[in-house]
Amino acid sequence: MSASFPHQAARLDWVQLRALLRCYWRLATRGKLTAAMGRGRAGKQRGLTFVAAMYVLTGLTASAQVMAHIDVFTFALVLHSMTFFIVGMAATSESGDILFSPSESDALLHRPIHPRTLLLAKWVNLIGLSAFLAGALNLFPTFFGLAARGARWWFPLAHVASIFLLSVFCSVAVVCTYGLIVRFFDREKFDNFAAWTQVAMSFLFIGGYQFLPRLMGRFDRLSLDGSPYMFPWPPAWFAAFDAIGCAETTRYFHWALAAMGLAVTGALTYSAVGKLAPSYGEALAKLGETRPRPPAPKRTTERTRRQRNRVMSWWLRDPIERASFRLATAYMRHDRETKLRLYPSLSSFVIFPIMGLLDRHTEVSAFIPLMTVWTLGTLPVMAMETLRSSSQAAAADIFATAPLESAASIFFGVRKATIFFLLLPALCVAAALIMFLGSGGERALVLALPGVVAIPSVSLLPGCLDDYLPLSRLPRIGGQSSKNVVVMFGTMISMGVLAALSYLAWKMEFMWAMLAVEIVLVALVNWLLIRRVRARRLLWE
Amino acid sequence: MISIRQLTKRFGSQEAVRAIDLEIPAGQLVGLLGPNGAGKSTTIKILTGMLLPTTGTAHVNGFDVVSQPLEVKKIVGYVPESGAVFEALTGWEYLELVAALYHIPDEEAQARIGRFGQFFELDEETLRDKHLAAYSKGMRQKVVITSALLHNPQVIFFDEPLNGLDANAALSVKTLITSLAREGKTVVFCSHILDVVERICQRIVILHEGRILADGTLTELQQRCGEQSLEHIFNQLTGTRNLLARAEEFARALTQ
Repeated sequence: MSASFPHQAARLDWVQLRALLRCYWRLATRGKLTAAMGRGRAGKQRGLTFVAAMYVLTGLTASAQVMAHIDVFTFALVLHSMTFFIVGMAATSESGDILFSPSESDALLHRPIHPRTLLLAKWVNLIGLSAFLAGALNLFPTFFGLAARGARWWFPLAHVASIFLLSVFCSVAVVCTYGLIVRFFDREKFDNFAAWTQVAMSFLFIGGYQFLPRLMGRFDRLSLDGSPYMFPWPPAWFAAFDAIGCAETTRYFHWALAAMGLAVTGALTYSAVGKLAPSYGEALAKLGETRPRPPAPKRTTERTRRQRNRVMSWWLRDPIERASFRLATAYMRHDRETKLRLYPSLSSFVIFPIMGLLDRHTEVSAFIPLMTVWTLGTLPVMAMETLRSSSQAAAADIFATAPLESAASIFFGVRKATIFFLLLPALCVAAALIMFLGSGGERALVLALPGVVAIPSVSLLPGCLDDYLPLSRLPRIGGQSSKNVVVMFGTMISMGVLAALSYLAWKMEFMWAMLAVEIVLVALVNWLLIRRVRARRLLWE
Repeated sequence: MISIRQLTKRFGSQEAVRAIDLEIPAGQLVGLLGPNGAGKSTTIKILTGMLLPTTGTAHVNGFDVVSQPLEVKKIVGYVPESGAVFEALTGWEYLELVAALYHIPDEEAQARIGRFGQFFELDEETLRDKHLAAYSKGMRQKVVITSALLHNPQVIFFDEPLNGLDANAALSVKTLITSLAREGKTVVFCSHILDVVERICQRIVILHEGRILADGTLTELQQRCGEQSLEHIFNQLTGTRNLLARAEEFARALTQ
């Protein structure tokens, strides 16, 4: 039975909208405070500020392209492509929490709010987040753009406006995608489909970002101005506003692109807020339902299960570790929030091999396996950080009441779950893709070995710096702890150094010797790190 | 008043509510009881417009919960069992948000929040300055109850409203609930604290496995079951036999 909201109430309620926006703004800006006060163990959260600072630095490096003396349109296009990718990914990964927050249902669903008003409030919230990140990314390029060929002094104003429009486009595209999913899928299919749609959207954003450099490679003078390839490319629509706003010469091409951008954004907005809003109300009601899960069909034989259990029993000898492994596995497989946060980010881990597929005709370069293993190195750390938060954080009090001296076993269980269910499959997919890339795939694969050997040790870092307790923190927008950012950077740097050494060893043909030395060193480091993790006393603040 | 006809709610193959019929006139205080999973919360969520029924109809003061959910939501108040609030807001900010959602003018809202604050002995400084995350469970429950009553609803659903309240606050809330019913509000009171239900409710409805097992005044239920206390009536209708003996046996096994 479908809900049909009355026609007379279908208009927007501005009083409610204003109140909801004020509330969401407060929630977004006070998230860290709440976490610290509510659970007493959130620590210092500088997540969003730190992320913004990283974006500002990334934007600064992107500004360097202005040195190539490219025209305004091409300069803006590169910036918009980068923004499209980064902001699109952020909007995609945060949209699950913003649009379908389960903790909100008991507080809001029985209030007389039309789904259109609620959806609009959440969409504006999403635009705010996207525009904030886009603003950070474009802080320096906005002024560096003045040096682009043909730019006039009001380039910053035009660029700010076009970046805002791009943020609106990214957010409305995400809202529309969800709107369509909830319209056509029931509660049971919604969870899985929403998670996998996010993965697809992430691929789209990442893949799209890779499209531009390849296109630029086809043009001699580093200008894409006037290229018909630009029409299906959303960032070009918004880059056209920069050209219209402040380039010395404007062409019909720019006007056509800009018109396309406005038309598509307008159509998506109309669809999201006008047409899909009622199904959003139904979706929220559906999400409030708790449905018993039918028993999973038995896919394995008794013998296989016994053998697998024997291996797993040995690997997970510690009962606390085993329980923690099961907890993490259950959340990765069944919890909608965790899936929505975790799966979209997985796409970035196989993107390098996929990029390689685009250039199949050439011999496989060292770049792809090195970059693949470099990004895969951060996968367990990223997944463990995702598993650290849950809207059911209060349930983590079980760790406080249990007689635990250290959080080590709990940490090892979660770590093993992420390695077993995420890292291993991702490594297999990446290896298969590299093998099929073209000639020399197998040879290039050897380059990845030193990185693969080091990943399990690198994944111990989160447990060294902090008491790792899964699902113990409330999720927040951009909610990465500063310690986690340090861990991520530490992981990236160590994996980067290893990639450089691997390349050197490969070039100078002492790869196998290096691998032998590395195995000994990694075993030692592994032992030291495990000791360090086990030595940490659990301090429950 | 509330009118339910053949109301059914299915979650997949499981029927949480099975073709129930129920009429609750205005001004009546009804205790809705049942073991866990009996369908109480599902029924309440349907009546507050949070869930859609699979079949059947439900009307609240003449408004259909399916075709007129916003009209229903305007006249009902709901205290959820979860006590969910936005923890990053102060109590005052949260109540201001609720007031705005019901279009209560600012000045009126401030006055009403102040009055509730006084009734629940929540001092204004705490309400204005402290975030809900820092409130004790009892204080938070007082804010939740206030948020359900702020717009002066005609029909009120209380799902375990005494959770976390101290003895004095619980007494205040119980008195408030009976007074609201006397003032003509329709009140549905869900609780597992049977002696409270026994004392304050004019009528008792017992749900089990999605069906209504018993519906009547306490005296009617006593006559029907031949038991005096509601606890024993409830156990006779819904519980397992030999509870006492089983509990003793289990405790013995546990300590051995």
